[in-house]
Amino acid sequence: MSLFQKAITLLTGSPKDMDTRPLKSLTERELIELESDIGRYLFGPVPRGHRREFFCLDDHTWIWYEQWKNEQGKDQERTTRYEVHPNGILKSYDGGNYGYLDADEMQNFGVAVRLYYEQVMRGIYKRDPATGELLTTLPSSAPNVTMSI
Amino acid sequence: MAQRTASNIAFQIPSYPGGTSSNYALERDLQASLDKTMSTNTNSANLVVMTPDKDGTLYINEKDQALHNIGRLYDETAANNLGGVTESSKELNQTMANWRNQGGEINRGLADDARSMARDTASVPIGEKKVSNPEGYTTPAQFLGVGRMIDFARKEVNAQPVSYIDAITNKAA
Repeated sequence: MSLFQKAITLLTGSPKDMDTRPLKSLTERELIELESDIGRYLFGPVPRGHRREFFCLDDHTWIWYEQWKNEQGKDQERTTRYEVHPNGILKSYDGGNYGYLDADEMQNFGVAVRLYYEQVMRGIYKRDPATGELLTTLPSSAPNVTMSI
Repeated sequence: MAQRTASNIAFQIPSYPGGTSSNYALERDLQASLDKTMSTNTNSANLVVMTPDKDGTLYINEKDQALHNIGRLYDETAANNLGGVTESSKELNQTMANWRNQGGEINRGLADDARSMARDTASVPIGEKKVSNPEGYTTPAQFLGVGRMIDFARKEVNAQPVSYIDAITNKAA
């Protein structure tokens, strides 16, 4: 089991949970995987032999996971964690190496999060990113949060 | 609805044995540029921006997208004076084949048009509209707002009718 799988299992439950869940419901883990299907392409093509995941873990944490083989054919992986703090975005990878995003990286991260949000809300949750309201005629109890898009 | 990016426009790839085509030099340059892009591409500036309309439909079509990509890659090639072809540049071949399959030609006129489009970095044609290249979020409050909305959307999924979840899972299929 890769570090990514361990991390997501710890955070969102075992994959075995999916076997026992009621029909027609989706676990948070499954939803994150659906979101990451969108997120992994936001930074451009995934190089051959790489596996990439990019997703929103919770309301203040974003994860970028990358796995690849090095020149010796050994598996390599890096998990980068972005935490939203009042004074900026704190980036850490491989359990250490903390630092706030600089201007360029902040810009890229901001664009990626925006695209992720807009595509995930529309493509997966069928909701208007600006209002959170369903794009269908179904009633919604979206929180009163308005995004300035 | 599957999202469309430059990396998942699937077409069969023509080969260019010996480079006999008059367009070979251009394609070779473009391939080389793509190699560079793929080897360093962790920058969202390389994204082709596709903005869905309010019903979730992406109005940019493959032709617009292919042209945009060709132009961007061509400009990068010119800027970096790259050359050479490697095995890893399948994406560009796909893009070029995509363009051809839709009746497009690969020639210098196309390159000029494509470059002009790519240089218009503030917009990508979406149907008949011009949609601005989105600005990213910049403040912690914006990131937290996004996170809360996603968290809310996740929690609401199983409260919706079966048809809603069907729509989500069909999207994923």
